[in-house]
Amino acid sequence: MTTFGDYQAPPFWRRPFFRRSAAQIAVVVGLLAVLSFFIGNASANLAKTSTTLGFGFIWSRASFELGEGITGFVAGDSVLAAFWAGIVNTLLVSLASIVTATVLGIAVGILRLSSNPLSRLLSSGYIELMRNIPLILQMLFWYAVITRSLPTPRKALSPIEGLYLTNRGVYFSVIQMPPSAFWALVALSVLLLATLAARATSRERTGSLGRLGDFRLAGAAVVAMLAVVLTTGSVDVPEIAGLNFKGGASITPEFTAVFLGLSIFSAAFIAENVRAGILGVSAGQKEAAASLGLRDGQTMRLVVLPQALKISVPPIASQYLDIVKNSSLAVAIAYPEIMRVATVVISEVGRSIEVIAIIMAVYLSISLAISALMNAYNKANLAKGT
Amino acid sequence: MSAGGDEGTDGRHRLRTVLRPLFGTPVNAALTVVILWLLVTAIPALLRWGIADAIWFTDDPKDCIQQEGACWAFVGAKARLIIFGRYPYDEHWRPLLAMIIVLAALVLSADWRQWRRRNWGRFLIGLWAVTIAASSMLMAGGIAGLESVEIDRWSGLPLTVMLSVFGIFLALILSVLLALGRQSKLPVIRWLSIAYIELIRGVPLISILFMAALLLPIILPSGFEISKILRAQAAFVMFFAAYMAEVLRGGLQAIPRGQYEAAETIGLTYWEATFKVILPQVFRLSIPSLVNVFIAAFKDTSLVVIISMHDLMGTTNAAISDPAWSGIYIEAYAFTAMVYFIFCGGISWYSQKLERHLKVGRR
Repeated sequence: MTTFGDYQAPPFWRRPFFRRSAAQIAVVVGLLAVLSFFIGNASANLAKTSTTLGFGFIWSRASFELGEGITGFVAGDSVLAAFWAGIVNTLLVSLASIVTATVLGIAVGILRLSSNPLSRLLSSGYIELMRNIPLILQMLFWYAVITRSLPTPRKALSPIEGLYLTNRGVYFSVIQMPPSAFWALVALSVLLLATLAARATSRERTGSLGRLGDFRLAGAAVVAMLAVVLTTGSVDVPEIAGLNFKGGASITPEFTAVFLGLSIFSAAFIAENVRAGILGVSAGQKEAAASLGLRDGQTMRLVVLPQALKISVPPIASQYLDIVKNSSLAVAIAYPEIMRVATVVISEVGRSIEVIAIIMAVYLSISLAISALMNAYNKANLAKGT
Repeated sequence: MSAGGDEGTDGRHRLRTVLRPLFGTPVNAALTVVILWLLVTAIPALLRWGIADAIWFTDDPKDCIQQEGACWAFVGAKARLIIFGRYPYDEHWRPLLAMIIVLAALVLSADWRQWRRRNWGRFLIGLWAVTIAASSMLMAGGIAGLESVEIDRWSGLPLTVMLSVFGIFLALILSVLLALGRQSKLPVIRWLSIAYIELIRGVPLISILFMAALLLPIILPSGFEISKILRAQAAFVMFFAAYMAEVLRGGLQAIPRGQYEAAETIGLTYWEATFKVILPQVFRLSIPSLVNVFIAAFKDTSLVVIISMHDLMGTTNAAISDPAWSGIYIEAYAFTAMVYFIFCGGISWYSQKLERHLKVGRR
């Protein structure tokens, strides 16, 4: 007969604590072995070419031009300045594409669910076509269309007055004004946005007088803006000078191609997220709104969209993250974003290990920043309750 | 309405059911008018360019440059370059056959009626090991009287198919380990898995491709040559494993605790429980999302053009850069887009069918 007195503790190698510790130690040791193997090879290979690692090179002079940028980088500035120009270009083209893709995506997503069969057909055709063709092909296509098929500046295509499409880029008229007027406009638009935001977020929908006050303030802001523009502004129209345009503002073919490719491609994915969000709102909500006598448009705007937004925002935010990461494909058409700068630096200065570390750090920071924003938004939304 | 059906009212009724969604509300009417106007302007122009004014057959590029319409003769002349790239011209049957083998293995693995069979998973792993070995040997040659072909001459569609299919298969194996690691109770393993997954997901694929292309030669022993294609393949495996691990994590989290507890109660070890009880259910839940990762992988292999390799996208660019046919590019891009569309559209069509099947099976 066995009693508990006969119980023998299992040998130490069968105890859970030992096994778990052993497994973890084995993994760490294995990983360290692989790493030291790689590092050993790397230092041997680097010693052969007598190079040392270090980030000192970012202070050295960059002997290359980047093509475009708003930071005013020129050859002769530091490599660090080149990287900064690249980061700004990445953020610029991403931001422009995010705005356009969101607007286009919401429109296509809503049309995809319309009661009109033609609009359903058109939008689902758009989504399927764009989602199944690689982004890089789309960017190369737009770039080829701009640089090969658009006319030279002398024969520029002008669909509307003051806008010229050429193989050297897009030229358009801008309103020029003194800096003081510009800052006045900025201040007025902040006021306008603040008024609209206050109205949108306030829960008070009953006080009609208060709303009227909001409208008056917003209206006054708009009138003041118009007044500033009309009195101080002058239109700067691009004009042919020699082989190219002078005056006005322009966008390069590279930026246009990256922007078009990213926006049109990403809009298809955002449209799907919007659609999923709208379908995620229960049918009862729509029926309740209809039985209250709201029209289709009102139901959409006041009942469905606010709830759909809550479902769609997280996936759309991850689309934004994808847009930033996908902007790196611009290197294929030499738009000087961070990845392009990195390849230029590698070919001019070398230092591939350090440069790759820098671009990874940059993208990780951008990703972390966007996810932090996203989490803050989610938290705020959860706190508000549904 | 009478049973026989009054022709007049029936026709009018049918007309109304067609017209109401198109013109029923002012918004719909406006939409219909705008879309019809778009279609009426775009479709005839497209047909005129693509069919009526197009040149289908010619050997002389000059015929095309004068012409308003599409030059499909260009695609005809360049089709073999676009599809097989720099592979030796007389040996094109080998990449074709290799591609057919890979696609056949893919179709066989995709047939969900077989999934219930005993040891099917083990069979599939064996099937893919054989497929990878057979198709690579067929492409590389040097045995059985086949002329040897350098790996750097593999290009075009076979390269795209092999990079994406083999990449996804190897990434799947890695991703299972990563997903289990992320859910592990052992903190060191969990942290390492999380760090890997989040690091990879935070950076673009191109940076991983650059890393593989530039750093692999540095960190491997000198004299150990690794071809460009294998470096790119390693990058794809590393990159997509992180994304697939996240998909599998979703599946793992959806498995009720009771399943783990039941497996433990009947005395299964961790690995037995994982492979016999948990993972089969995880795969069932995650397969549609895994297929979506596969579609992304198929499209994203086109990024290798950036590290100057000649996949389908790269061979298309090579075809366009021929000065004899200068100025012709839309036709080649359209052809390549169509190839991608057929593959990706086909896979996503399968994914939808599968999802429906799995949902029906659950009920």
